[in-house]
Amino acid sequence: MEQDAILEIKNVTKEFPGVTALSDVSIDIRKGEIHGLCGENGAGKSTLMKILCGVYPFGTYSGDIVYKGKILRLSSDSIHQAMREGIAIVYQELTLIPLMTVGENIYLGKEPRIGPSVNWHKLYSDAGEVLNRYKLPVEPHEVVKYLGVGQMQMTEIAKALSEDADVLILDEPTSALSEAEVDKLMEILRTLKALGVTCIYISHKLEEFFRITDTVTVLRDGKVVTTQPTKALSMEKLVSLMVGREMKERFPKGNRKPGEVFMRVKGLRATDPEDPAREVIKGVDFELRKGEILGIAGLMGSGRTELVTTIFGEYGLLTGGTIELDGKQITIKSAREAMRHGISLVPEDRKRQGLVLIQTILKNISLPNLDKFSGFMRINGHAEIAEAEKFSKSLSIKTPSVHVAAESLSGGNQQKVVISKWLMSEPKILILDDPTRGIDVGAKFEIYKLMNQLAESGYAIIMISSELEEVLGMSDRVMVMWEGRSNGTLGIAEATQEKIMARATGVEIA
Amino acid sequence: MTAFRKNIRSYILVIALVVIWLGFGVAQPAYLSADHIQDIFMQMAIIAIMACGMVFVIVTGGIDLSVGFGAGFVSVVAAALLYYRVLDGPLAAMGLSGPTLEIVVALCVILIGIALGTLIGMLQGAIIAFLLVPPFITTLGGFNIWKSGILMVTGGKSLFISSNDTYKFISQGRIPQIAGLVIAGLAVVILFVMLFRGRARKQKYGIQVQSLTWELVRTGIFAILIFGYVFIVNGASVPGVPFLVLILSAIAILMSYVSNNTRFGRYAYAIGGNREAARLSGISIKKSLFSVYVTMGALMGVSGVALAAYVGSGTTAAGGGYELDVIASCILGGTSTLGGEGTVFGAVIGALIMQSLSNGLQMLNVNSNLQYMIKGVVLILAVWADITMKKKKA
Repeated sequence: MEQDAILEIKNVTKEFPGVTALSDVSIDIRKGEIHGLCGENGAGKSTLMKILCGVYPFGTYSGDIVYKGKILRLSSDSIHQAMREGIAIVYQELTLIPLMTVGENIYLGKEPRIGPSVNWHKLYSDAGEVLNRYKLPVEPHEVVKYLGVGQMQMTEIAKALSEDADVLILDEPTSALSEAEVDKLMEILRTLKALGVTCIYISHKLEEFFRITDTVTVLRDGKVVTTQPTKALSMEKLVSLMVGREMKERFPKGNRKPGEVFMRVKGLRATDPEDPAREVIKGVDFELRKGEILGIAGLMGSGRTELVTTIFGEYGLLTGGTIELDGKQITIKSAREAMRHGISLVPEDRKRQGLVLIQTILKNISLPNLDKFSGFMRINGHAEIAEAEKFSKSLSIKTPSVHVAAESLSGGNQQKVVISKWLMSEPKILILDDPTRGIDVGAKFEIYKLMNQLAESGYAIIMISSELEEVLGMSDRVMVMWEGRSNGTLGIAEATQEKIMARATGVEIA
Repeated sequence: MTAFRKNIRSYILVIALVVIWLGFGVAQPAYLSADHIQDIFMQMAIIAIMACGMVFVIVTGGIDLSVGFGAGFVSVVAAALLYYRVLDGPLAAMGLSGPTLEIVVALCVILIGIALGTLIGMLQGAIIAFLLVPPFITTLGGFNIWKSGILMVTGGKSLFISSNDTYKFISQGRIPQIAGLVIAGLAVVILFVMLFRGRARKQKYGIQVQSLTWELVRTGIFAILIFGYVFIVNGASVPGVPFLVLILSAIAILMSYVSNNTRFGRYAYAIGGNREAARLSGISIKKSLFSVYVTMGALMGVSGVALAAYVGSGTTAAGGGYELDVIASCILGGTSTLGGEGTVFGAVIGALIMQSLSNGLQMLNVNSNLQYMIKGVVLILAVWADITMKKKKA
């Protein structure tokens, strides 16, 4: 099989001051295959990808990358050079310009020209051709802002493939996609494969490897653990290879005893703050008990995030319905009021909404809680540090001290900082919006354990999740959202993936 | 040692300042004379006072272009009050006379000036925070409005403050030599008391303390600097610490404290670092931004009052171009124009560096046409060096 390798990574070692990110990594990527790459955060996946696309240029690592039989030498400003060689990458975070059209985005930086001016006709016809060839259902004239996340991703893929890429690297492409969009992506990958494109597929969602990949390489601590045909692996096997220990259960068993109803939401309706004519929440009912975890499932765009942000007082105008807390009707118009009622929200996007990345762990944790440490004017800095350190320890945030900038932490530890900051505000209700997105298996497990502990000690927890398995694994009850409505709540005993999907897609209506 | 790394930028700034002084001092020994050292600090004080407020504005991701003519407007209003003796009549009617009258008039003008600055800050802050007009636009508008205001108040002529020497003391006076020593002594005692109290409190909360020697050495260096400065200026031909420098020191210490130890300061940094995260943490963005511009306005008022006293008159061009010097000082002192980063200490040193450069170039008889160019190049080089250093660290 050696001879049909399109890309051979040979004994690559990459060192940073004090850390070896990759040590003696060798992987053969065969032409036309979909090669999965999995490993915990910090295992070296991103470093490897950055070498392949030239972020870390030739000469900054030892070992060789052999591409189509020749040693690949990418120079330092080589993002475009890698593309010209035929290696394209779709990053986890979308890199599109929202106010431009799909076509403009695809040809950004390489617009076809007549003399000094852009040849718009050619640009759009070429863009249409690329989208057609790879069967991507997006219209080139559409403005990116108005696309769904799934379609944005397709635009990203088209952009990557627009220069006839032979190797396409996908870095966690599904982290923001709904189940239906994931299905669509899988279909697109199969089309690409049929057209002879080689794919390197990075993901944290293990089941995806079994759906789509031919071969899987597992990285751990910068070393290759194994490269095996996917058929020879199982989910449990993969998990244990990644973490280096057997992980019997992906979801820790809790000992939760849900108590009396604490919050009751009835007929809640709310409009889009950007467009007050558009109703986004169109009637939601649910109850939340003390000591339980209520899962909220639903497709992307079903209004899950909007619902919890509305309850937290930071979304659009309430147009109907009531929120009752402990039997009393309340209105919440800002995050501060929500906090006063004992409601905390760990938002969906920890980097954009949860953290001030350039600030220290300490300042992030204490940000919503400064009132606690303040007299008339002055903040008691010592009490603040002591309290933050307490949380840092009890949530085992891996850091030398609380004076380290949040941006230097791994995703899982960043999420723990966000959770700490909200636990410090002593809430009664903790809302977690997709708390394990983009976090590695080990850190996920710790967050699950933490959720169990919190629920056991009486917190009422709402957890939104894009992963059905997570919803089923962690919730006591599951509320399903469909087109801005609540479409029934299922007890965990009766809930199955099929039933949830049927409700989430409106096939079954409560 | 993390504390050291965090402060590395401040240390580099101080080193840069020392290098500049030594360089000019070798080329022109008069540069390091007591008289000139006294001068540099007096000349930079008005810019530095505003820089203490501008740091907060820039940290929130904003800008204030109106501070130059805003301070100028305050200065001509103050000058007009004194020139036309607006307050003398009513106050004399209340039975005041002689030196008492002069002092009360001066105090009233000071208060009116600061209040006027604060009012300007409130107006612009409200437009920015509540009406959501971008800071750049709002304060560019303010720039023109206060420029007009200056012309209207002065009527195109200079208003000389000949009636009130007490008022001019603000910017031209020196405090008695013995008072300077006493204040320096008090400051040093407070520094050491704070050091030991801080250590005791840290231990009470179970927080690790730095080695005592290191902290003593650091505080000791500060003490030497304070006393050194007082001794030098006490030997100048008009001896004593300039009153204006004392005001600047008080403001800088206060604002530096505010930046780190109050909600106001912390919220400003959080908003600049990530506005969305700050909002979702329950911070009222509007209130915070409003207070930042009000603070800027108050300090602009102080500067305007000082400006009139410094020049001894209200002139038609008062404060013109100051806004850019204030912004440059902040940036030179490490404030990021992207928001979220910057220190009051850095901004003051930045102002000092700018002043030291211009004075040095003047003393070396560098063609004045060239001086602006050199200052411009230094600013760009400094920021470039800062960016390069950050990249290496990452």
